[in-house]
Amino acid sequence: MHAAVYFIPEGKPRIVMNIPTVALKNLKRKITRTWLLFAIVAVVSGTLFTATLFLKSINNALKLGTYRLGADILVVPASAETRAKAALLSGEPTDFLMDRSVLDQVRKIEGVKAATPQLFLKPSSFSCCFNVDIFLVAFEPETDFTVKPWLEKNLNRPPAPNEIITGREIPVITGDEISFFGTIFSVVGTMEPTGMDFFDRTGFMSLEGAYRMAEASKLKALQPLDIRRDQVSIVLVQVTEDFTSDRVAIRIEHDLPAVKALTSDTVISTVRKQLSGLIHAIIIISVILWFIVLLIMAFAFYMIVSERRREIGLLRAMGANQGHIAAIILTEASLLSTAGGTVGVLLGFGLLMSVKDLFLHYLKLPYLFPSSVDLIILTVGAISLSILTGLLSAFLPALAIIRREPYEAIRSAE
Amino acid sequence: MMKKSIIVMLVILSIFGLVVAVQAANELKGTMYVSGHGGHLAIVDLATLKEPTDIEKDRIVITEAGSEMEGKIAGMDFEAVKKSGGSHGSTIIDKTLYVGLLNGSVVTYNLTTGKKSEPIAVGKKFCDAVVGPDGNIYLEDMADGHVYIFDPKGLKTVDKMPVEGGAAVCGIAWTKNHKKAYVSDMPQGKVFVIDWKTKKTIKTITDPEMTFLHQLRMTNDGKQVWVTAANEFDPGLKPGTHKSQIIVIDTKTDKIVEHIVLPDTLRTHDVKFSPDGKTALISGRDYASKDGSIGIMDVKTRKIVKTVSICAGCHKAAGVQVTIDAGAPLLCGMAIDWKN
Repeated sequence: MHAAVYFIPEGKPRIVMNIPTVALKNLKRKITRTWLLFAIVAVVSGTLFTATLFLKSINNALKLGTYRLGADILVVPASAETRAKAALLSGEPTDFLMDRSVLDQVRKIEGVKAATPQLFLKPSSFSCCFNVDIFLVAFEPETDFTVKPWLEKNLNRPPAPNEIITGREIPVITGDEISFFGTIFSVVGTMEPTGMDFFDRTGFMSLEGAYRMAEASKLKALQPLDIRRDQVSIVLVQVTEDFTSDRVAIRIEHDLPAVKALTSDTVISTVRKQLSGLIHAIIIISVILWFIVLLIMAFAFYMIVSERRREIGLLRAMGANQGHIAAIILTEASLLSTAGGTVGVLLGFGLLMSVKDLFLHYLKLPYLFPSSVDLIILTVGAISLSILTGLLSAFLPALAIIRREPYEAIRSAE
Repeated sequence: MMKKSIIVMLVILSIFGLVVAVQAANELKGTMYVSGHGGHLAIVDLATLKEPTDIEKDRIVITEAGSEMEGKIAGMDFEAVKKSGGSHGSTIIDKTLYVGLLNGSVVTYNLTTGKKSEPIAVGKKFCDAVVGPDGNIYLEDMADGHVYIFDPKGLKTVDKMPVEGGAAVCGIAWTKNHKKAYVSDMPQGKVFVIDWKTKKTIKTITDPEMTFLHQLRMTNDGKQVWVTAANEFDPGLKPGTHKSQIIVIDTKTDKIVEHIVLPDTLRTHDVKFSPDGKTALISGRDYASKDGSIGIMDVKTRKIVKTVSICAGCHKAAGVQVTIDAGAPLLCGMAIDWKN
């Protein structure tokens, strides 16, 4: 131990210890070992933090996206179930059609509170100059509940047939003009980011605007749209409070031939099922990793304490009590794990930011970064876990050494 | 002398009663299909009441949930049985069997042609399958406490009816005027009385002797509901301490009017009445001899006049040993194709 321990000879002997300084100096004495332990803690805390943040962001996007959709059930042609799910979850542009009469039939079913149609359009790649896949969704302003909350807050009127509202990822601003199938649309607003491409990479226009565009496309577009006014792609349904969405979905599927009623919960649970394997693997690996680190740290602190038996014995002989010794050892562990945990979290965050797009590209999942509060909670949680790991690993070695008599500790080291 | 005469008379009367009862049982005409958890339905000719012994002729294979039937000593667990679709309840409409499975699917089986459908996903874990007042099939779900309504013509689910208070529902029966329905809940040991117009639970019937229930049936005159209380478990799924019995509910007062205690060798799961209402056929498990059987009860005297082994005949011949659930094959619902 070094100079930060003071022995004051006047009156009753008193020891004044600057414990953090002592702990820090001790860590510096075996710098290679300290760096290795630091790296282990950083890797584990970084892995746990990154994995949790990634999964939380996906969950966040799913929650917000389905809330923004505002529908309990999505009624689609039975043959288009997979494409509808892909459109909703990954914003993959698609186009399928069904008869508009489905809407009236759906509205008659017990348990249906509101129903609104949407038309999905997939612009041809050469009709637009932007380097992103734009998905066009046409909605009925009178009955809509997906875009309506945004309209009420921002535009305060339904969009005109030649107006479009764009998602955050589409590189346009209010006032710009975009051409689809030979019809020019004015951008009247940009929606807030949701993390779901269905919203963020989509242009929302009125159903009337879409039908007019389809009619005009026969004269103006290289690839005309073959859509009639009695056709829609999807019917979004809200259910009454006394019915569950899956119950109404069963009724819809029974009463209407050749349609599939997808509940929002089911769509989310599909993603959760896809993710569950990944989540389980991450949890198992994390627990194993954490346990291994705990053992390595415990072993390292056992060695550290064993090496310093003589010093600790001398300190005790000079008047340091058990609490002082324990505090020095536990502070060493805390400093190591706090630094390791903090660096691990920072590195993990940086790594996630740099590779998340690649992951999302393969997984085809929505992603929305959590709020600042959630991020702070997660960061504090990860660092706290690191500190706890350090304290747990040093606890038993500390307990073992402070129980030894000073003389015994000095002799055993000789 | 007087005493001797009375005893002789009583013996003669008992023998006469037994003969009459057995005769009554033998007057049954039709074919019974008993669902087993192995995914197979045992076939019993009611005229002969002959124990099924021929693995080829005396059973219908709906799923291969029970690989035991193939002569293997399988170490399968109950979860595996559920997943692969053990059969639990079935009903017959126009010579077609509609079988509800433990994985929540429905399989149809044409009794004339032997043609079987692919499993149709409907619910989660079915107990009984009963034809309802509207001609649809009502399947009680033991996983989510709902009654699934299945359209036998369109082969589609019509509705999913929540049972207020229900957790693991197992059977349903209606009064003759269809104003009320009775739904049994297995682990809760309750019978819910439902107003069929509003679909709301209007009364919950409980009894200390109802700790673990299975299916229930309305008597032919609509005056009573017979609830099968095998009572394999006590509340909280603790080992059962109560006798196997049939609980009789009066449909006018919705009160329990009788407990028909059954032998321990007949842990009852289902009950069906003959068209004349004189005979009750009761399916049950026999843990003592590791078998499943049907008890033929004379409704008037409440006596079991004959017992027919359902599982052992085939299982033993094929070298099958059930390794789960205390070694007793699990049979449950009966479907009967009556000829009289």
